[in-house]
Amino acid sequence: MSKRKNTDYLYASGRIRALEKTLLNKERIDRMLDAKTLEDSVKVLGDCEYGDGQELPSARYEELLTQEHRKTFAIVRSLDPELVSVFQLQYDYLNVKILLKSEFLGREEGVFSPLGELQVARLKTSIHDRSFEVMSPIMRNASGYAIEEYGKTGDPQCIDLILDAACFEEMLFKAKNMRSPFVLEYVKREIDSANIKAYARIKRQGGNAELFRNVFFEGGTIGLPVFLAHFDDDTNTFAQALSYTDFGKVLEAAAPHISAGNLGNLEKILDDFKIGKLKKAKIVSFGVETIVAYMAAKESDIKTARIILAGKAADIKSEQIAERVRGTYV
Amino acid sequence: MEMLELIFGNGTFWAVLGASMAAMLAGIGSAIGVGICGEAAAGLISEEPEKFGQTLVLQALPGTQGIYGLLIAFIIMLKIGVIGTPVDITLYQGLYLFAAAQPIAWCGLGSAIAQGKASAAGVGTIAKRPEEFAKAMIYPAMVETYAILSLLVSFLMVNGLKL
Repeated sequence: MSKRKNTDYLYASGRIRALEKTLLNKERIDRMLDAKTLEDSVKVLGDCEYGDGQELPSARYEELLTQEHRKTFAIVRSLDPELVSVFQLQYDYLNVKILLKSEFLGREEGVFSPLGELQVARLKTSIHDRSFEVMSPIMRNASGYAIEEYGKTGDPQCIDLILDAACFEEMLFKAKNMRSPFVLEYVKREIDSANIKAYARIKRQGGNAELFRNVFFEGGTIGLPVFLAHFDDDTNTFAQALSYTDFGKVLEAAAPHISAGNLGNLEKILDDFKIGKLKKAKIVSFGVETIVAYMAAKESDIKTARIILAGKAADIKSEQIAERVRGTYV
Repeated sequence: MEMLELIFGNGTFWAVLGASMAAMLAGIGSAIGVGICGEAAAGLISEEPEKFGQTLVLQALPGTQGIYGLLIAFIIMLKIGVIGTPVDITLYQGLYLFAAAQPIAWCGLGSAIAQGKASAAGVGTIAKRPEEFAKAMIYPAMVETYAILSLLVSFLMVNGLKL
């Protein structure tokens, strides 16, 4: 695929600028938080044109969020079909993991993600007959390898590890094909974030560097040797060692939460960091950056909306919900 | 060889080449500029059709260079009698008119493309803040200054030649 020029995204950027007005801003989030009922909170999303126009009871907000996510994928697909895969791949890999695990563990299939690009029924057939025909070469190889490894070890965790690593590998492959530094940096940051989360998770479990080596994903900006060299140090020292990257400050802020084993707060810090990085797309008049930022901002909005609505449904105080709310792009 | 001498030693040929370049290069620039802004405007209109009027003004801005090029081409054609009574011009006079057409030809080409990009960025501004339409229009309008300057230089030079 030849490199696309920023002027190839003129139509897309014009459309995205109009769509950005439907993103959640601080005022809208405050309205959702301050709403007395779940219904009032969902109404704010209605003002932001969420869903596909179908009237849904507020209790079915999850369906509304899924509709919005699918709608956003469809818009981005119409603007840049290559780019949407970078965001949608994780859901296809999730469905493959569900299918493989249900087959091996002989239990009912879990809930499939409706957000994948590949049809679940076709995925199921291709895994069942081992033809893997609807899959990309990377997904096909990873599925085959996961089946083989499970046969040897009998450990279902290997399915997750192999397919998650393959998912990042394919995201990176697609990002490189697009030849856009912005997309490539985005994917690398996603891989780094996943590695930092794994680092914090293993630290909390009291695991060692060897365990981390097994769950490390290749392709990010922070290499495995850096993680291994500082694995036994405290997080602040590790943050100092990473001061040459953007993640130094992130880890510094996250250090108390990692030490306390509070992965929820770490995830929020990483999400806010991701959105902060995307804000430079705001000063790009036209280019792929505008679409990437819109897609990621919408995903962040959906996550925020889910946190608020789940909190409202469970009668949690607004102040407590607000602590978990992500930063906004607009 | 004789044929080349006949062509390149002919003043009318150089004057016509100048007029062609003025109309052609400034016209290409405007076509690209108007196209760039048109694409961005189409993206916005797909979501908010009511902004058609505002985007049309922005799209029209890079179109002026083509008109300036046409104007200079027209004056040259009048001067050498392509339109009206034919006039005999020397090689020197032909080369002079060719040189005089260059500012609007090249500056028209470059400024129209740059103006198209600034207009497309203005489309992004009115997508978010339609009330700031005037400001969104001023930025691409600034680019127009340089097209007007080159038009002035070409016009004064073409007009300065007495045949």
